[in-house]
Amino acid sequence: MNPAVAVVGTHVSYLDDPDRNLEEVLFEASNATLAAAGITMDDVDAIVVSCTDQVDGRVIEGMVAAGPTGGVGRDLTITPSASEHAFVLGYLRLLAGLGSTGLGSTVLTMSWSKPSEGVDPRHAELVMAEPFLLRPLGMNLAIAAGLQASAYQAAHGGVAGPDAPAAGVVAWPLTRADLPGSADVVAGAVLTTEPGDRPATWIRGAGWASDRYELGERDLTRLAALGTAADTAYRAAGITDPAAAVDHAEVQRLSRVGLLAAYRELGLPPPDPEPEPLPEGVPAAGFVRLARAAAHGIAHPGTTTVGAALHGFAGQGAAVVVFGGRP
Amino acid sequence: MSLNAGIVGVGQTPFVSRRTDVTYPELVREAAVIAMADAGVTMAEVDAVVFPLAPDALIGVGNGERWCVEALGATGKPFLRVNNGGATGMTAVQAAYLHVASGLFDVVLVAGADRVSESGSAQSVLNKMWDVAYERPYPLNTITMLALSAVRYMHLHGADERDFARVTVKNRRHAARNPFAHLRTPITEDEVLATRVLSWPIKLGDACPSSTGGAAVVLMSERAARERGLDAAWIRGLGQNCETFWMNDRVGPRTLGDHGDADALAVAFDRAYAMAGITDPAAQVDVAEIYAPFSSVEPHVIEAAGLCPKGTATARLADGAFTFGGGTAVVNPSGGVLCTNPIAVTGVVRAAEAALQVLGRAGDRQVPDASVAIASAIGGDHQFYATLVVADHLEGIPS
Repeated sequence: MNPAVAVVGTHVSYLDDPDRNLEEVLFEASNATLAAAGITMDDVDAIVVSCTDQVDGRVIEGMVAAGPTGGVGRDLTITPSASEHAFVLGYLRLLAGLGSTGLGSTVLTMSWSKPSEGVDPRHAELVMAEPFLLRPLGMNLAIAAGLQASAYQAAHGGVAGPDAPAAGVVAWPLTRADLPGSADVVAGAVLTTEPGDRPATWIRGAGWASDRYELGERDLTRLAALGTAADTAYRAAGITDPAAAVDHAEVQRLSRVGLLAAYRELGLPPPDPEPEPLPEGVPAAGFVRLARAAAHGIAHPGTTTVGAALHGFAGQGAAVVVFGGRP
Repeated sequence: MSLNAGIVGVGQTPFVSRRTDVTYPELVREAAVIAMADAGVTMAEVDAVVFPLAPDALIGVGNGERWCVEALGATGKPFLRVNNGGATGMTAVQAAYLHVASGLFDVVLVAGADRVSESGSAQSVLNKMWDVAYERPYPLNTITMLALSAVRYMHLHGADERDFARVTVKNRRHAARNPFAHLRTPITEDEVLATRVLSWPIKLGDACPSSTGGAAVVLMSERAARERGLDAAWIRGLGQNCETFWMNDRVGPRTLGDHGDADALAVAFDRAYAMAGITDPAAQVDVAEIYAPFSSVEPHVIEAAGLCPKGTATARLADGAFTFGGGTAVVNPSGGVLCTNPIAVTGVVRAAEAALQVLGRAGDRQVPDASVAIASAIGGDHQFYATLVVADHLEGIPS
């Protein structure tokens, strides 16, 4: 019997001073996350972090995290494939029951992006493109989101925003206002099999998946990886009618159109009113959505909350986590 | 209790300096196909994929793992990457173990590749690991970093350059038996000592090659392996530990861990041994596939693994220990990292070689009657440590 896993504390902070040292902000955020969970570093058995070399300008970016996240002397793993994968791998570690073998039962997961330390993020996005076909085309996240949005609009109708004409097109049909902004952000979440009497929300199901890399090989009217991840998470959580079962959703916004596509894949009605966009043009954005979903679950016991994260060109990969009461 | 998981298939391409006939995804696929064939499974039967890829800059593509999804046939599957520097491959195997032990997955593929020699200047890339304002300008790279460690080991334990050369001679002799190894030509101590100095005391003959190639393993739950009638190298223990990022904190009165020793690695081994029930590794371990990219590293890793007391490995090596017929665990029968170092998958190779040994399928490099094997990997600036214990059985490990 695998143990149940709960989230007992989260922290998200957006940084307004680009001159702050990365180690300092990580130290503050890890401590804030532990404080939110009501624990100290002595209670943590392992740490999983996610960050991106190209965005922050350091090779093996996670190396610098060892000290400020409390990793020295502990098991620390880096998952650069997606910020949400830090959360997923922390969950798997606990689900695997390593606590019963003496290797611990509490994991600190963290992710951050500090694009203010790097060059123009679009340069980092350009090297995400393979060098033979996509890179010479100048592919980046905005262009990929534009291709996805245009395909979605062709299938489901126009969804232009009210300020589209004034904002100007960045990647047709998306305007600056349709696309997520960028910011320095750091976030954390404490996962445990032993929450005690702390306020907690339980992981009822989790799914993650990857679609094809080649945009031309995908059905861009869909976010297929997100749909697959949602199916897996809902099945684990015993949810057959998400529109009826889910009380609150935190969904990463690739673009204004992408958000509608995401809600469709999640089996949820479009948000009304449209949520205030977060600065999600950074790799840590997916983790932030999972942390926010968990925070909502902790603050609202008895509710079912979904966190949905996306990564890669036009949402190549995705993760969905369902939070709720004790299984 | 964790569910049991084992390695049921391994795949390695021959490691070379250059492959111009394949793209990076094709190289990954090559290794994956071999491993899946070895396990007797198809991609349709694989439930999830863990991708080992170290610094993106070494292959020149950011998040290059995403580029490989189609080549692996992994579309629609759970897919994630780990990067713990040189420890990446073993961290990936551990992550795959977590997938299986969680009970959510029965068959998990670890597959990756690297083309270190094709990355322009690997040491220039690796210099960018260090803090931009403080330690990067020295200039540090993995050679100079470990030259400092070697000097410290010499000071602490009285070793000399010939002691290190002896490690190269042993591993080259072993690599000559391994058809996948990159450097397979035997060499003498004097020949090693005569090679040019890279960063004293490390000479070219003391250094690993920059290797290109792919490696993969298939992990399976006990239930699935038994249903298929497969032999497995059971994962009996695993451990990780992390050292300080700062080189300046490795030596001196306020040191967090002496750079000449590998105390943080010893902790990772202790964690794996505790899980596996190993109390006397020198007596209980038959084979060690350990991560030592320079000859000077192997002695302190042997000591951290508990195969001999601290400061005694070079003397034991001089007496003929840690090789075939040496009356001890055989260390790096494959030739080790000193003869093959495709950074992202070097840890996968260690796990694969350890698995082959306990499965009795290691060919000319087979250690007779191998039943328990350990493997280790090191990443970052000698910062991330990962260890593994595999055995041919699930019962208690005899002392």
